[in-house]
Amino acid sequence: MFAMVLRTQWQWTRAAVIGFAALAFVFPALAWRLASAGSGGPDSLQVMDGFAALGPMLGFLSLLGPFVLAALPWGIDHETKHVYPLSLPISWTRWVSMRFAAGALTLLLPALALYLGSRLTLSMLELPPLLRGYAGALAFRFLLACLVAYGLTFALQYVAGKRAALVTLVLLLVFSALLMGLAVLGMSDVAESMGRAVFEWPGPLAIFVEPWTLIDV
Amino acid sequence: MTDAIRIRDLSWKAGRDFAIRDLSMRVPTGAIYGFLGPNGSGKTSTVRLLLGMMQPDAGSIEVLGHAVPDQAPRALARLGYVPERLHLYGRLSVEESIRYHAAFFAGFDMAEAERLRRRFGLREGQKVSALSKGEAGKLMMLLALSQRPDLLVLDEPTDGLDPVVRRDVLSALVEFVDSQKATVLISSHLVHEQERICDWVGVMDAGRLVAELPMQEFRSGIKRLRVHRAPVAADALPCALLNRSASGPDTETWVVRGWQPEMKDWFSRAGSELRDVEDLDLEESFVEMLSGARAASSGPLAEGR
Repeated sequence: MFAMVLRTQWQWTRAAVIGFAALAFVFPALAWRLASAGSGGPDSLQVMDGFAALGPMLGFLSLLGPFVLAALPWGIDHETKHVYPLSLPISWTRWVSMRFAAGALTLLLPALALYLGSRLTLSMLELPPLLRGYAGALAFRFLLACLVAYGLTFALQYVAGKRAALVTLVLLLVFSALLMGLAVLGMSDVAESMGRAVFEWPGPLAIFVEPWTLIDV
Repeated sequence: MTDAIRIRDLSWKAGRDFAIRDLSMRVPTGAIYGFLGPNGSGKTSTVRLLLGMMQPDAGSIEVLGHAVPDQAPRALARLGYVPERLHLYGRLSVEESIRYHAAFFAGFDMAEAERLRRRFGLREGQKVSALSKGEAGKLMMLLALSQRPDLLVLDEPTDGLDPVVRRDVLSALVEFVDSQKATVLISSHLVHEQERICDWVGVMDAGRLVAELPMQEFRSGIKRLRVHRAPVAADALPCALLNRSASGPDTETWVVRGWQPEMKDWFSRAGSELRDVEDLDLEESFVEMLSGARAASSGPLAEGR
């Protein structure tokens, strides 16, 4: 049963997964290229700087990719108002869990691609002992970020249905308006605290913006 | 005889415009039950409530002995469903759809699915989204029949199909029922089609079940009477008066249900003269039953159910 759900998930999202994995794979090479600009072969610290500079791109990728992977199958089910899954002899909870698990499993591929890309790039460097596990740690962090984005998108779609995009937009607008309002009222410190609460560890969205170097360089 | 479906006092509201009110119905095990009603009468909503797709506001539903919606998966495991519109994934091929469906039903008969696929002329590799309406109807019927279900729930299964496809689908259904002794609920507004295959009839109108009776009774029990000097009050009439209207000087046309020849004495005793008793075909009976039910709900004219 789950194998079939996984199979359809793959069939419907494979183009997006492969594209997502390809971008994750080339990311370390881009960091290397950025680090070696203007110099010959970069050292490990320069490559870390490259990772740090391109980190926001990885954060953006970990938001956008899972969004697409959650939205595509939901959209296909929604074309028939979810009548087919509802007519199958399993509970709705089990169905949604299987859909979630199938999508979450496909996220392993981009994370694996990032790991392989990082290993390949870093293999060209003489790494200090502390950085030898960097490729694995980066891929793991990327996978966690993807799972958070996937979980949020998935939950929003199954709770809000076709109004998911509208709900997201309203949440973003409310949050932005709140921050701007506080700033206008001269309460920038409160706005800053709010921003920190959301985007700094242990805030819910910290995983997307915290430094992608994972170490202090 | 046990009931494959038993609904008691079911109520469900959709917005401000439509509601199913105090619906009670029973589908006997082994019956082919025609669920008739005009478009928008609540047939599809009732079917979806039966399958546990929606939560009723009040009342109880039992399908194959399982309380729905709480135990819906157990009931659905023994139930084949063909909805009015294609509900399968358009991006899968015919063969993939069969395999996908089979993965969810323990008793799915792959050999039967293959036999039906050949019989219906469906190509394995054809995408579901590229199927014609008739082919899509055949595929949905194929999947439901290959489950070898104890109960088939068909929601307008032949609506919009050409006569050839309709014949193919119905003959596959009749063969299945003959061999499996399964119960079938067919929701439709195509009265003549139901007449050929159903042995029970339930009639829905505006969210209410206005009649539930054996097909034989439905077919033969509704008559059009021409009554001269009709009595004003018909409360004591020994059958159900569905409709009455003036049809000439001192003459009225009555439509009654449950008519027996010996009832004509009642008119003599009431000082009237019964001039003619006319049989109605099933479609006329259906229309008269609906108009009678509508008149009853807007005024105290007839006895109703």
